[in-house]
Amino acid sequence: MSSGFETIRSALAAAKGIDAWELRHDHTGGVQVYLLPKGHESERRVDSDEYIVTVHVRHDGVQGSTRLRLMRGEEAEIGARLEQALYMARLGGVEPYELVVASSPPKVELADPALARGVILQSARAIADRWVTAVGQLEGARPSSGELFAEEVTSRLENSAGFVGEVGTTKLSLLNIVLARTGEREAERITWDERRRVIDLDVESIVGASADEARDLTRAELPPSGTLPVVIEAREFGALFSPIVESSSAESIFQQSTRFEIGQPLPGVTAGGDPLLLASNATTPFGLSSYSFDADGLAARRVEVIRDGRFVRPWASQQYASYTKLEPTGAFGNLEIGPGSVPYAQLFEGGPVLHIVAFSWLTPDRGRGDFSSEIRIGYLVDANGRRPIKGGSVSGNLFAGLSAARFSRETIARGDYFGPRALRFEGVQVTGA
Amino acid sequence: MNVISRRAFLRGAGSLVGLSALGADRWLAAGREGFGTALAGPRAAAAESLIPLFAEAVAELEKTFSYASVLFTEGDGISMARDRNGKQVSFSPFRGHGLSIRVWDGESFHEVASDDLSGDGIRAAVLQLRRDVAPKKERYRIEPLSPRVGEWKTEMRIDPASLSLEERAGMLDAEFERVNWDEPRVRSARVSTDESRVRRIFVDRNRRLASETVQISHGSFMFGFDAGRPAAGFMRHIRQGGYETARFSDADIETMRAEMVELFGAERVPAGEYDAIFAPPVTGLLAHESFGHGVEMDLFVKDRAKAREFIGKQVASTIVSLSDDPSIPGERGSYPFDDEGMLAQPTRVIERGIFVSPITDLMSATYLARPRTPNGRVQSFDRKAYARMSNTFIERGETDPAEMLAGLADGLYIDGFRNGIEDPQGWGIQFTAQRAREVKNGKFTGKVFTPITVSGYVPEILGNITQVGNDFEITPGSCGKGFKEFVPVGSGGPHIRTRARVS
Repeated sequence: MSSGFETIRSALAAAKGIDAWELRHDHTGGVQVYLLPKGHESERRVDSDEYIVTVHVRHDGVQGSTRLRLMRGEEAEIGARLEQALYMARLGGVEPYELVVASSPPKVELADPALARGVILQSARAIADRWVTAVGQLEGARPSSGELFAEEVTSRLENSAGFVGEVGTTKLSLLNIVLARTGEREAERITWDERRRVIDLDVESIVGASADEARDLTRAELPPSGTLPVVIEAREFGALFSPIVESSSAESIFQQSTRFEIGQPLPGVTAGGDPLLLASNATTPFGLSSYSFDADGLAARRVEVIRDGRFVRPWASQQYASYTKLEPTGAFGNLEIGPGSVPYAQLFEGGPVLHIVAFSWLTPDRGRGDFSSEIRIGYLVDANGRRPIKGGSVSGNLFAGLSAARFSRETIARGDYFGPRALRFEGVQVTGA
Repeated sequence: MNVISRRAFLRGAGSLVGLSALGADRWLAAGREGFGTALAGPRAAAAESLIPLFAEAVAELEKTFSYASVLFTEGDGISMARDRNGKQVSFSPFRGHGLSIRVWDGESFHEVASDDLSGDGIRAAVLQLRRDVAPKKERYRIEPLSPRVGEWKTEMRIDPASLSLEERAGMLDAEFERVNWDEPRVRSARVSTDESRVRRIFVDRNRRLASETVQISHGSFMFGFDAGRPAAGFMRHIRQGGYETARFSDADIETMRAEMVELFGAERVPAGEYDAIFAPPVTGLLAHESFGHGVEMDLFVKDRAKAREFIGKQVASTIVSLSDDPSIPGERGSYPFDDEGMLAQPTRVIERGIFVSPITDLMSATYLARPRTPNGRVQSFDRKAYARMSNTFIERGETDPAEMLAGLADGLYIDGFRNGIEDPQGWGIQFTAQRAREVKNGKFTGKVFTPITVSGYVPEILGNITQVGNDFEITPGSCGKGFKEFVPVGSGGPHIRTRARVS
């Protein structure tokens, strides 16, 4: 524990008028390597210390809360800052709730020793070298640039109800950009991959796949216009399923902003597709959205939110669980979807089928589940083979799509997603040539 | 209106030797009565006191390297929100500070970024750079800008510092009472007012620049259901300036309500190509995603921008001119100098359909030997500078928007800013608008569609522009580069008429 943490905690404990408090300390160290084909373009070192203090004050039947960030060197200001925070907290107020009490959060693996403070620079440089080597071996494609961020964070959370937790996490982020040219046509493929461990960041595969896709894009066409079955790769599932994740929280129930009803099928979904199993899993080892305890101190767990296509229970933060009289589950962890009924290859049968590898940017409407996006890269799969597609757009509705959806039996693990490799929606509107 | 004022100040002095840690008392805010309003004064003074230290760090580093600079950023502010369940008054979640010290090794930059502002911290960063980075034979030379010392501060009609926190909380309550709609279909309503203050200091051999920007973001959100069909309405004003922004007009509130009700009955648009009029926020999205991202010159260095082959060539209809301008008073994307010390000035990107100039950061301008533009920007002290947009817009034209609408026989009027994504290499474009109204014979039919995705090929959409309105509006937003690096921007222009693929 840092001396700054002790200083602030002592001040919180001694402060008059505070009914409850939370104190979080994050120490972050990182390396950023900027890459060009010839090698490392430049490096940045990043180092920061921050304390996040939340004070809660009960007054007039409500609970006012104020959050304050203090940076390194400001710890000694805590007295004056708490006075300000108290004053501000008394100006606001919501329904009171209790903080998370002392518990023993599960041990969830979140940190890679290869990215520990003393070795993170060497590890980052080694990964960057792997990228340079991998792009140097490309044929028919060439590198544009890359960026590698490596970060390790040590966090400590305490609150006035007795919760104490400490955790270390690591993360790697790789931006990879590869170009290809065929005749006059040039194309780029840009990928962004994040993992917690060095061993999970398969630089060579990422570079290889992006080069294949860049080459394909040099001969890509617009899709045909019409109604087609569409197979969507799992890399888009975080965005595609966001309407369900957002509408299934205790907060959305409390705010009356969801159509979901506990125990009922998802609105707009009729039986016929693979029954959906959707869970929040914060316990997956090295999952990007795994945690030992969440920002409130709630312990990591796996929570099935949708089972057999029915909304079985919301995921709930401490505050909104209290308001809705539901069990707190913690923040949404990794997205977990149950495996489907058919082999991956079978998803492409009965063509033509439009295979979406990546949308340009998928942002479904949260309330309705409507989505529409340009195709960044895809393939038209039919009896004649597989033709690359770029441009045009795909429009549909998540809930209507789930009514006849088939998920692949094969599963993948990808950062903060664990589940089927792809899904197939029927009768999706495609606009192209 | 002159919002950004200038006054000369400050000179570099002092010594790295004997620097003391910056004491806590220098950050002390005022007492209870006025503290929430007095975040600016003492902190700004303390930030200014850092300039001599930065100047000395630069001098130390330039004993080894041909160029060095320091960027300091600090954010602060107060956030307030009120909904049907209560009210929250808190410090800005973006509060924080840090500095980035960088050196040029003859080929590229190397940087150390830290939130440690103590003398020891700054000295350690200098030593780390001298220890870890070796100067190389100079393949590219950084040309320092001409000497300049200056300070800029946002001008405000109602300085938040002139209001007590109680007054501000009371104003929020009053706004909530105006916005909250006692209508059975409305399930939730929310109003928020956020004040943010950002202080920046840039120091290199020739420049000592400091700014304090105050921005007020005043927003409202409403959500409801009608027979199980959800719809949302929102309104947001973001301006650099004072608390004068923290109030909606009656027309704002009526518009928000009407738009939400309209969306209850909205349908999916039949996908296809349409003659379309873009409202100014949508024109802005087009400008931003097409010849905004597409002309960021750091992408030229990486062979990632098709525009590189088109300098001096026609890329849009001859009635289209497009600019990027950080010097427009009061807009969200405005700043007096960029994060690499270049003073704000407009850059004409497209002139009557011809692509004339990219926007640059220092490194890309150096690599490609092009004139610098004031577009080197960072997300925060712990991220590097890239070529980024400020306020990007299609310039005002000659057609009355009413005349434009009257001339549309069969098409869509597309409005409401949502989001977009760039494709600078492929010149594809996608952006999403909130709604489209069907137009027949120059009149709205009452049919509304949502959401609206526009996609296509950039030169085609820009080339299809047949009318440019004589109105003008800039919409505030945030812009990422690829998957990260978010900075505040503005984008806009007049109404335009074009033909586009809509789904």
